[in-house]
Amino acid sequence: MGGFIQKVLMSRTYFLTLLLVMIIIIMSILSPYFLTVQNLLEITQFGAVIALLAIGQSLVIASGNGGIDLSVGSMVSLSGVLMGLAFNAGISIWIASIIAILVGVLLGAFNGFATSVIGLPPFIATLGTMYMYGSLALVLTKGTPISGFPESFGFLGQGTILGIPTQVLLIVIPVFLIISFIVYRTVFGRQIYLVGTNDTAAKFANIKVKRTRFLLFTLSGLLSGIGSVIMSSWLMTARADVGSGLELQAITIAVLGGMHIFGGKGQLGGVMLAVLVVTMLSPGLQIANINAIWQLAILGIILIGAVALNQYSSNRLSLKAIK
Amino acid sequence: MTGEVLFTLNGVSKSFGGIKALQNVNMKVNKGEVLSIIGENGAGKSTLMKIIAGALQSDTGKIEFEGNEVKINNTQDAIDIGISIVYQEPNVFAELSVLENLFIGEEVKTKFGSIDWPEMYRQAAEALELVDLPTYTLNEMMGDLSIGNQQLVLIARGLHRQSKLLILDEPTSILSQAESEKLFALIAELKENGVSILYISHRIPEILRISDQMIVLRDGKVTETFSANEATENRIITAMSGREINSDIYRLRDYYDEKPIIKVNNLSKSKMFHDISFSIKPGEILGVYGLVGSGRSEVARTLFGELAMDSGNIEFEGKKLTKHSTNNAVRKGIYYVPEDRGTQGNFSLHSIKYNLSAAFLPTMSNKFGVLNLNDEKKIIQKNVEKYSIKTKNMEDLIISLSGGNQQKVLLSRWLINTPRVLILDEPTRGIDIGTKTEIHELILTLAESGVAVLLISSDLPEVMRLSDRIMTFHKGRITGFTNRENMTEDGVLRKALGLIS
Repeated sequence: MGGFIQKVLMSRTYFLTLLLVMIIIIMSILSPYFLTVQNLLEITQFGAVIALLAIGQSLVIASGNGGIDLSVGSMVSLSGVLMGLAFNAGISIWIASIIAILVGVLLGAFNGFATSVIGLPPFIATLGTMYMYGSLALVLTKGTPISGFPESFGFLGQGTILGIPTQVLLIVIPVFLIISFIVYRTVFGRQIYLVGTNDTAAKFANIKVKRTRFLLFTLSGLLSGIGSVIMSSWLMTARADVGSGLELQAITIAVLGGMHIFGGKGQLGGVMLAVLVVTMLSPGLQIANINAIWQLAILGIILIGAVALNQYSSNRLSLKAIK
Repeated sequence: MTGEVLFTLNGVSKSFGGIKALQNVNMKVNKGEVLSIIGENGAGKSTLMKIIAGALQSDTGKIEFEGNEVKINNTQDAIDIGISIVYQEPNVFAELSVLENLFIGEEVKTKFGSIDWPEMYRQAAEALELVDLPTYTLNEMMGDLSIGNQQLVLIARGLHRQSKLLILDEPTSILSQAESEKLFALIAELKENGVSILYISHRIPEILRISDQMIVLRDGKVTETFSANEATENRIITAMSGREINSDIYRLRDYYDEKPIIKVNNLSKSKMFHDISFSIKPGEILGVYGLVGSGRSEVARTLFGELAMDSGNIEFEGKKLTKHSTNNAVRKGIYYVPEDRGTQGNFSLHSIKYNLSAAFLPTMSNKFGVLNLNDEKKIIQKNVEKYSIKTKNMEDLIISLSGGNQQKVLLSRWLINTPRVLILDEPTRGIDIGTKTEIHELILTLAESGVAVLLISSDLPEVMRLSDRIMTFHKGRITGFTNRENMTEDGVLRKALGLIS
């Protein structure tokens, strides 16, 4: 039994799977509607945007040097707003979507430039751009939501294919697979972890440290841009405050998923499980009639618990290595 | 005053992992005498000294101080008994005043519990007088003092604590000639006052000059004990190296008719190195000897394209390298194995495999950058076997290996593709003697296959053992070249110290 508990604590995958099963069991006791295939599938649409942001966030964190992207929420807001403005200016909604994604790339590249090229600490640089991007979104819209998107646009955020939400089937799953391939099967992916572990050693191993980090911030922007399109289609409006708070959720999920906060370690599979845990939790808590204020508290508890767990398992690992 | 025993060690041993750093060391220090501990880098001098100063604990053995057995469990115990240590690189708080540095952690308090500045000032002035520093120094920032004076302040701190045994760890390695002379005068004065000194160094001339007793350490064992009248340079060197220095392993190679593969012309970088010119032929081993901080690693990093030069140029196969970068260096086959395994080499969170393949991932992938994991595995497996890296599983973390095997991983990282110019910076620092020999053999084999080797080391016997020529560095300048037929430890050392022989 002791061995089993230790194994669960050491393996993030076991731990998160167990947590997920526990949440599902508790929720289905609390509500008979919870455990239906239909409901479970529907819940995943709530996780689509945050899944994209968490993937970007996780890779920024994995690349080390205090890597963190606090601006993802603001990038979602600003990209979405610019998409709405483009649409209002008479551009087709699909072209506007591409614009939103390109804006995300540019905003992310600016973060990458500030942190990796100029050398500002990521926490400070992206805190700054979080305010800049967020304010710009508000200024551009004067705080008024932009709506009136064509019905057909809702297909992405509200439709389903074979019962699976469209954004999950057509975007989140392919994005996850492509990025996993990049991370685990390419030179660039391997270098993310090497840079994150020891950037001096990486430099001496002829790895382009700055470029690696720059590209990851840009990727985080790209994924935020895609997220903003899904968000706009889901809500059928573009709002300047739509992304606020998403950055903290994305960080929570990355850490819960096992990303080492100092970089170099952690797997995307764990992050996806963590997305499921957090997504199941909030509508679950709603079904169970738990006040929305408590939901945030629970997220906080999960975050601290996850970091403590990371510390525990890395201590165990180094003990094992020294042996 | 002399003749009375102050301090003895009996049967002290210490192991780190599998490496025996010290084995059954015995020593005795008399009151008012200087005992020198001599040995190559890695002989166990630092470990021994840290045990005496309480920074490390021995596995076995007894320590006696003034006739009583004592336990030194931490540095405070050592200070309480009367043992002080001044480390090679002074541990100072550069932003605090000299006065504050003298009393850090042991401030004098008034009866109300506030800091008694006047009393501290008075005591400090007394302490500085002992090392012949003027009182006004007390108000200066520690960081504004020269390294030599910083060291004197630390010695003053030890004396102020009424230390009976003062340990000096390679004190002259960072001092100028004049500063060294001042230190020797101080040592003589302290002896007069009955203070005993443990003096750690590998500079034989100064040891002969100041010591009453000498012990020589090699591979963690005491190989020889001399008193002042028995010791000679030759006897010490023989005891240190345990064999003739230029022995056995060196093999003559025929590289003389080759054209240099790399040529460095008047390379300068401000505050690091000045007017550096040299060349290396394929198959040649050019040794670089100089003290830490003499600019040798910086020159190496410039060749590797990792530091930018201010002026001068580098020619590779007769063509000037323009826009040099690490990428450019690696494409040309100029590889660099950095000096510090822990901070510059290891990816400690990752496996032996990841560590080995790190520099040549592109050669194990297709043109789209997709890794061929099977290729990687095969290449790594081959390297693990070829360089006899002792591991059962290449998926194990690199830090599960011994230091020597970690070093072999980092070296073989750069042997996946054949180097043209291989720069090795302290390739055997802190590793066991067996692995060291293996690495030496490997370096010779590489040279025989036509690799130009730049071998940087502070281990003089190592440089002398392997090099065809030695280039000496002192304060960022080349102070000379020594051909193999003219190599003497004394001659090379003199050049590295900036003394023209």
